[in-house]
Amino acid sequence: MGRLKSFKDLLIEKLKNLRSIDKFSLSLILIAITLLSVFILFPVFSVVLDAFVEPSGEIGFQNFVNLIATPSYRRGLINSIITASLTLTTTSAIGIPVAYIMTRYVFRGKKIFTLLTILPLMIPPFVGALALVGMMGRNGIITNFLEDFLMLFGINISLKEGLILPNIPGIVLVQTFHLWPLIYLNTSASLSKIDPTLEESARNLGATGFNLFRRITLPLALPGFAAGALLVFLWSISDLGTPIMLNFTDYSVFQAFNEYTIQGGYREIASVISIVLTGISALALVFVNKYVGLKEYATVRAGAAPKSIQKRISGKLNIIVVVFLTILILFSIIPHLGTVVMAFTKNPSYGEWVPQGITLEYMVEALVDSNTSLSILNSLVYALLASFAGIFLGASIAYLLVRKKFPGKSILDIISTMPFAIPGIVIGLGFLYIFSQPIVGNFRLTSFWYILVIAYSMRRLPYTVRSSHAVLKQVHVSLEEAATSLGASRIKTFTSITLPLIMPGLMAGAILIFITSFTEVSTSLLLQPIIGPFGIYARPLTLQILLLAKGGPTAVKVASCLGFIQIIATSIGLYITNKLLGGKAGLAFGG
Amino acid sequence: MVYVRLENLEKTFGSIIAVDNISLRIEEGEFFTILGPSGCGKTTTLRMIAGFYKPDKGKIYFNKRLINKIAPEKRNIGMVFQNYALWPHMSVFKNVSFGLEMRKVPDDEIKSRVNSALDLVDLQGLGDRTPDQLSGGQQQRVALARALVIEPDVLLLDEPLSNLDAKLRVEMRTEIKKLQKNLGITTIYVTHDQKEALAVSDRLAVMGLGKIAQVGNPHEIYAKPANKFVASFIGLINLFSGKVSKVSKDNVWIKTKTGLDLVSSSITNVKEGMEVLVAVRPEHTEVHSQDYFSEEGNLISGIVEGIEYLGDLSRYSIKTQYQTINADQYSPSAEKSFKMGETVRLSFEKEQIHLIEII
Repeated sequence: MGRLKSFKDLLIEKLKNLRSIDKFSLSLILIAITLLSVFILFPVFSVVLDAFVEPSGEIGFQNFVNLIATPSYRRGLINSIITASLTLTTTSAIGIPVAYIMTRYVFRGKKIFTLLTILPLMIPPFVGALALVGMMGRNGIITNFLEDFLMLFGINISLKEGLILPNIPGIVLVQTFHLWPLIYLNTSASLSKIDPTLEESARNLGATGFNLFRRITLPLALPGFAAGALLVFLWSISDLGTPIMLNFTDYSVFQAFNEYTIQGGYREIASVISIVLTGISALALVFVNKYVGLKEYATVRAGAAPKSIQKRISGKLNIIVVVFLTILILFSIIPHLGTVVMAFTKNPSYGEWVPQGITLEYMVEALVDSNTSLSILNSLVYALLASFAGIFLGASIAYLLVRKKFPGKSILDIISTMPFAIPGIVIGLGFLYIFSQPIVGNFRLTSFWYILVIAYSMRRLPYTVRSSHAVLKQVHVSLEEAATSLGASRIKTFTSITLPLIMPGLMAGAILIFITSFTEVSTSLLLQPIIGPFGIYARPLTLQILLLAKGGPTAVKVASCLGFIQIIATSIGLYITNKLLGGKAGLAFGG
Repeated sequence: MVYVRLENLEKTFGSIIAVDNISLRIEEGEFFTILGPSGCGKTTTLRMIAGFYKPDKGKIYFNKRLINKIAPEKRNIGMVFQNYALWPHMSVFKNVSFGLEMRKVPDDEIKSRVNSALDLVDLQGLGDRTPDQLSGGQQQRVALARALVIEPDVLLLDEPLSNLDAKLRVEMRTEIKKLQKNLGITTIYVTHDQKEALAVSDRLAVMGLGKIAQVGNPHEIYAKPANKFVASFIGLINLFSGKVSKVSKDNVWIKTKTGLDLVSSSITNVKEGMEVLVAVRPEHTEVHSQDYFSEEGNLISGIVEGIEYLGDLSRYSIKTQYQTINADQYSPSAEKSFKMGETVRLSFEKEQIHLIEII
């Protein structure tokens, strides 16, 4: 390479980068920075600041002290950490073996399982929790069935309280149902990319069986697993929906939510809890990054990567594997079946478990009741707009990150990935602190439905930045340069060359934002705008589900119908995304 | 017809100076190659001419026009990229017609010009295929057609053959050379393959570490390398450091650091006492049996340490008391070959000994 320059020259180089950037990109940068600052940075900072405002009005650490000193809050924090850790353990115990089986073995019936293993992703976790509580909670169909079933064997246990209780095991169970595919998908992504020659050379040198697995395979699969594990941990610790559904009040996120929304609640503790949870999330992120690294290094060789070796198994082992997977799938569809049963059948009598007939009355009620049907429409509008906004902003940021050099680039990268590690409740609280201040006269942004669209698109931003980033990287810059060299302006190059090539990935990203916004929980419950797109009713679908779920038996059934609608929307969306991304949709969803 | 002039060009990336004050003039219609190892700055130079990099210092002219500030899409250049950069979502026809569409050429003219371009590169009838349906060689030709159809002022090629297999590379370079000669477009070609550079270029510049080591026609570059870098980069060469001990009307005598006495007829600009690098190509190094004698001098005894049979020649590695010397023997036969460990005598013709002044 050429000779090296001095430090002064380096500085001049950096400033030169700023001057040489084109106007179009410069305006994109400014827009992105402004939006990110106003809708991510400021809200987060406001929550941080609020944590230091003591009830007396002074600035200090009193709130933190109260968090540790008060038994219930202390319990909430410990419970959250324990739950997240336990969920991580259970999901790994399921996900890792499944990943190994599916990537390394070929067996009869494998094809069916490949489709079924992402079933849990098709049901929004909130709806899943509702179904699980309905089926396995107090007087749930499965609960009553189990009681009767055990009776056949002379085992007389009262399951009056239900199988799923408002405690840590209950939360862990519900979360595991939804989250184990994240471990499976991410681990198998790593496992399947491992160049078989890496293992072959180890085998050549004498490593076999478990030793081989432990020293070669496992470390190489670690980045994938770590990515999944991080997702599970972060999700679990900031999960608001499940504790609400189970009515488990000793859970930090739920406590924060309660203290803020209840009249005369201890508001500041909500901020403290939120930033403590954020701090734990950030620590987890740093820890994983530092000690494991989320980079893939499983493909070392140059040239074409050979397919990973798969062993064909048969006989006894085949049966064991199939039985294991079948039981797993059967458990996994309990939430789906539960939703359908609760939505479309009449309740059995108390203590019984046989449904009393199929009916559409609850679905009709859901579609006819003005508020309920409006909430469906509202969420459709919010989700649609959020996906447009998210794609536009995400693709622009990805474009800047992939194609341009400018000072502050890494900061842009960090801020646009921040929402990943920030619990939804922090964004919600931050929006409330900042945007419930009147802007002009009596106009408060938080009274209007736009606030939800903004919240959804900001929360999902990392996903769109990532999917746009991945898809843009596949368009080699020489393809754009070739167009430029032949006379195409910047815009023409973008519309003729870049856009058509990244469209499938962009669409997939847009659909994912749509699905996740349609079923979003945290900010939907916290931000409660009044003015909606169709009148004075702005409630999104998830809030409507929650309100109904806490109502009488009929209301719960209507809630299940709404949940069913969410399942259908999610499944259709995932199907289309899968087609667009060529079979890797599950990864994009969880990853 | 356009000539290209580079004046004191400089480009830095971070703390590394990739192109360090280079000046060049590429004549109208010339096939000019920039040759050098990876990282020498040749591609950076090309991309500055194309307009994808802005020079930190220096000027670039197309004829008398300063083009530094002109956007790449307005420079009327045709560029062939190393990876061809064919658009996968467009047919071959659409790929080639793109530049004409940008120039708002009417449709029927586009059709005839694209078809002529495809004819030119021997791809008639393949207009409806998509790039993924073509072989590497065919893709390369589409990239060429796409660059040529717009009748550019300057044709830029960035290592266009490096992704092809060896045989195809040789075929394609001949075709490119022929095309260029027929069309007469000023062409700047970048490669690290010295055989390629020697085969196609009217003139070439050898670059190293961001600087130009030598500019000249292929013969000059090969036979009269101006410095050690060019000498050792192009082909194999035997190098001896030494001092000029005597200069006469016809001959120069050199004593090498290792004590070897050599005589050369390369007397231009040579003075007594000068420090020089003596350069002799292996093909000008003859191998004889150990009792060979010639009055000319330039004889060295040695032992065969290695033999590479390359089909058309045998390459010997001869260990001598001074250093290891490479010698090529063309059309080797069983009778004329030497064996490993055999003692031999090497000779150089004084006309083939080239002197490089060490500055």
